[in-house]
This record gives sequence, structure tokens and C-alpha cells, in this order.
Amino acid sequence: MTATQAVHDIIAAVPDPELPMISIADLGIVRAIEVSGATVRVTITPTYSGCPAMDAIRDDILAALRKRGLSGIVDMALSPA
Amino acid sequence: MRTDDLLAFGDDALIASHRLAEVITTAPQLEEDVAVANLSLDLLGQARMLLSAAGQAMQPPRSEDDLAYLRDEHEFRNCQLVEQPNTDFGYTIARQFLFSQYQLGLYARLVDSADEPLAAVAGKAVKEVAYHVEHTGSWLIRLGDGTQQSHQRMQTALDALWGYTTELFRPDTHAVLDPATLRDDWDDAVGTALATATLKIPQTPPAAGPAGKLGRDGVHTECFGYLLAEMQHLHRCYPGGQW
Repeated sequence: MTATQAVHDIIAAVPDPELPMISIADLGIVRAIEVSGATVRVTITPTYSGCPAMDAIRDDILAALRKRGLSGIVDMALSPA
Repeated sequence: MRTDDLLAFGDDALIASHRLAEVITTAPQLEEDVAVANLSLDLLGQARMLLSAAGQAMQPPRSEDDLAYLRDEHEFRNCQLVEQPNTDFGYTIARQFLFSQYQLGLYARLVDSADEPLAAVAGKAVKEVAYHVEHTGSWLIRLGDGTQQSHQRMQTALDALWGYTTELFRPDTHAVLDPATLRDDWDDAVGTALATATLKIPQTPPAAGPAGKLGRDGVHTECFGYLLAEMQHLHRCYPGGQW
């Protein structure tokens, strides 16, 4: 398993704050993952313009990475919509 | 990327969102309380993205909160239409329908703009405002082609707000998109909707401002001062407050 795949699994397991039976990967929120050493850069997109859960999702991603000893940066991308 | 455009579109969305939020708990049915909250949240999201982008382009940079809570009346660039009060539910629907129809035309064109982040915001927003048009359009028909009282109130609201629609299409060749080019499609769509709702196209003359200045120039109607007082007072009372 490559480093990127392992990290992808960690992030894909993060549940949506409102609907914990669905993951953020299921919802298409995770757009890109870049791994360089112990730093992971994740790009996410909100489901709709006013989604108030994005801060919580960002915090959850960073916490999930931290638990595995990885440091994370989360970027928000609006496109592709 | 023009800060003026980002402020105009962002302020439109912010003030429209604020007026819709006022309706929550007073809508004619519970389902509608939920609906206006959803529309308001969509618009707030658009406002946040547009104002954040505008703030980043300023010298020195300002945050979305700085722009929403610390600007004075004359610094806001929203059109006068969106600041008009919720006199009754007919006014709410008329105001939102006329504005959403404008936003739909605007965002549909901005999707292809070379201007990031306008194109990115438009890509998401165009799908949301298409629903806003559908939702308010349904109410327009239900109230217009409804009882004698609902028809009368709906017509009164349209007549009162119509004069503010001219500003939406005021020519501006320096803007990322000349608003005048949106007028014809808007007239067609609104004309069709009003006809279906058995409502008459109002003959109200365009709203006039001092020396021709209107919302886009920072000149607002009397109700705007009260709106900002309510929207901003908490932030201004507790500078730097966090919770």
C-alpha cells in the first residue's frame, strides 16, 4: 500500500458531521490528497455555498491525521463545483 | 479581478440573506420557515466567498467579518432592491423572486468568466439560485392566482418593488459583465411568470437617487440604516469577541 493510499483511507474514514453513517469521501467533499513525507495536503470542496460544517470537517481531518502522527494542511477549493 | 464586482455581488447576497433570515419563525407554514432558512444560508455562503475574495484583494487585506460588520452604510454596494423590508409575505416573495431571477442570469454568464474566483462561486451558486427561482416562482403563482386577497397583496408588493429593479441592469461597461446585457432575458422570464400568476407587469417608474446615485454607489434607502444597526450591533459592541 502506498503512502497516498494509506492516507486516503484515513481521510476517507472521516464521517460527515451531520450524517455520521456517510463519509466525506462518499459525499465527494475530498478533492485531492498530496503526501510529502509526514505532511499531508488535503483539498476539500463544500457541498453547497453556505455549508456550515466545513470548519468541523477541516478539524476532523486534521485530528484524524494527527492521530497517525501526520501533520496536515487543509485547503478549500470551490471548483470544480 | 475587480473588487467592485466582488463587493456588489457579495453585498447583494449578504443583504438578501439577512432579509430572508428575518422571516424565519413568521412564515405562513413551518415548511416555509425551513425553506427560507435554506435559501438564506445559500446566499450567506455566496456572500462569504465573495466578500472573502474582495477582502483579500484590498490593501491592507480585510476579512469577510470586517467587511460585513464594520463597514458603514455608504460603503455597501448592494442594490436597493435587496434591502427592502418584509412588509408582508408577498413582499418577501416578490423581492426574492425578482432578485433570484437576476442572480440566475448573472451567475449563468459568470460561470464562463476568466475571473477566478467569480467563476468558481458562480459554478456552485447557479445551481442553488435555480432552485430559489423555482421556489419563489411557485409561491408567486400560488399567491397571484390565489384568492382575491392574496392576488391583491401580491400585486401591491410587486408594484412597490418594481421601481428598484432598474438598478439591477444599470449599464456598466467596466464591470466584469455589463448588467444591461442581462435585461432582456430577465424581462422574458419575469413576464412569463407574472402572466402565469395572473399578475400585471407594474408601471412603477425607476427609483431615483440623489444625482442619480443608487445602491451600487453606496446610496441606500432609509430602511438600510436600521438593517445594518441590527446586523452589526453585536459585533460592534464586543470588538474582537470570539465564541
